[in-house]
Amino acid sequence: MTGLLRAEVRKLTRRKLFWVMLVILMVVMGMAAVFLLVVPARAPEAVPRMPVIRKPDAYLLGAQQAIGQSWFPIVLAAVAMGGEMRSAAFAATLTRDSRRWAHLFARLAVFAAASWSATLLAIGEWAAVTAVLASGEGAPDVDVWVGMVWKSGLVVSTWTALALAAVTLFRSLGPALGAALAFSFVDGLVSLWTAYRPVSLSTNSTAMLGELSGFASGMGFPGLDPIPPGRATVVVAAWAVGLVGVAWASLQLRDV
Amino acid sequence: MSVAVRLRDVHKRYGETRALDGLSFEIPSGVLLGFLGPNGAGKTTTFRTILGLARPDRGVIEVLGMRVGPETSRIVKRVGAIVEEPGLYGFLSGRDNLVVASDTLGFGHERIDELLAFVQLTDDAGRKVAGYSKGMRQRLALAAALLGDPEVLFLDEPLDGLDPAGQAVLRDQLRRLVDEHDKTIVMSTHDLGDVEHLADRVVVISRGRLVTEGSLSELTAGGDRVRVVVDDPDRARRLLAADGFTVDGEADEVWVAGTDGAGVIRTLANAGVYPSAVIPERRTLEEVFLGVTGEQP
Repeated sequence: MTGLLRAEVRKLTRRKLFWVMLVILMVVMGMAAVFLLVVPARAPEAVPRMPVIRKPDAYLLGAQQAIGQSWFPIVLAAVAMGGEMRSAAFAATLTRDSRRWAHLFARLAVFAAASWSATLLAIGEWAAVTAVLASGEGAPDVDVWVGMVWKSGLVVSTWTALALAAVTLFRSLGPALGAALAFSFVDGLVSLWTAYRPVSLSTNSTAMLGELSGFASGMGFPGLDPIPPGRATVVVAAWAVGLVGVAWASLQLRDV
Repeated sequence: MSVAVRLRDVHKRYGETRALDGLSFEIPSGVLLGFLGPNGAGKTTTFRTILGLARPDRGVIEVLGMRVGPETSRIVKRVGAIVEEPGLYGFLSGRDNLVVASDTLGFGHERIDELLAFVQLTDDAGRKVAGYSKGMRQRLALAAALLGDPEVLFLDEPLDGLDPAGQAVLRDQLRRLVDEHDKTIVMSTHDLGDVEHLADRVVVISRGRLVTEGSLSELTAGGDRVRVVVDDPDRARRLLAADGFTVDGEADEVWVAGTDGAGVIRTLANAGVYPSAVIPERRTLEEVFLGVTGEQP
């Protein structure tokens, strides 16, 4: 397993994909921070319906925004593993039937860890913008920050598992990437439906961090009951386990 | 001679397509085997089933005395393979590709330098593989396949698309692996010339079935004519025809059918005509291939 992890880390860090995506994520988060925190406070006439998010809620909003960047773990995992599926390299390594779970776990661990690192950097970037430019006072307690850290890890692991499941099911990068991104989009959209909302991956991902009541009511969609963070965490964890199971079964039960 | 690979009545379907249809053959240890067949004959599927990448619907496959399926994890530690395109990472250097392959497959790094030297890539080991020529990629893939010091190598069209110099280098390396390192190599190819240059034995499949197998000399023998080299071909033709032989050929060519050559020499010598050579006709591998498959390789 150590060798597999070492190999995955070497591959991931030597290709441009991760670094380019990291830059894009940081730019997106920086722009979002300025738009959501600075513009409503400094130029409210430009965005009249946008509420002013103050500290300490602004920090929590940043974590939600970072966790909401599901495209990052999906694209990273799908492209990295999809490229291998296209060549015979992965197929050859999977020759070892008994180690298929190990190959899957190594990729899940490394891709998720990479996405998690990027997400934490994005949260940090947002926090820096908040500290300097947002109005209001105060910051979340330490336990809230700790919660942001491990909860963001769970969320990116789940989106990574979704991408791996899609790749192992479709065995082709394009359809797998399209399906995973489409799911993330549709899941967020359909979560407005009250029957689906309790199991929506994207909604429960952000609900894990707690609700921003003022922000939500200010943006619209009133009347949706908040999902308790504990319950949301259970739902996201269930998604993660289920998606890893799909990926494993897809590798185990079909020809490589 | 021990058997390296044995297939017995192997079947594999992809939907309605029968990729393998009762395929059976054996490969002795320590030979370079040319694995031939027309497009769609089932060559790659055969490799994939042997390597455990595809599960056969029926039949038994043994590699080095172990059964594919229950013992695949033991088998793959003793075989190397290049199936379809070489599985290399263009964004990594040649050396890093071998490091990653070693780590992924659970081998140590101690053979990497030796293998880079064997495939003549030591000087280019630090360059990204994206900048390698196809020949260099194939050689690096060969090095990767050799990382675990395998006893059997399965190479799917390893010489395909290489320039003549690249082919020559790789041919030499493959031959050395068999002659000097006692490897067994199973090499699929469309190029019958490669097989004639390299292979000890040949297996030909078509539509997922074995159509012929044997040593190169066995397969290319079997022409029932001899060519007679003689100073006076016209007189030789007349003498042989008069003695009841079926004679063919024009000008300097004298071909005699249905004989092993001894009768030809006796007839001509009795008449005072002494041939400088009587050469049994050998079929080319292409003729053998076309004869058994009816298709282009």
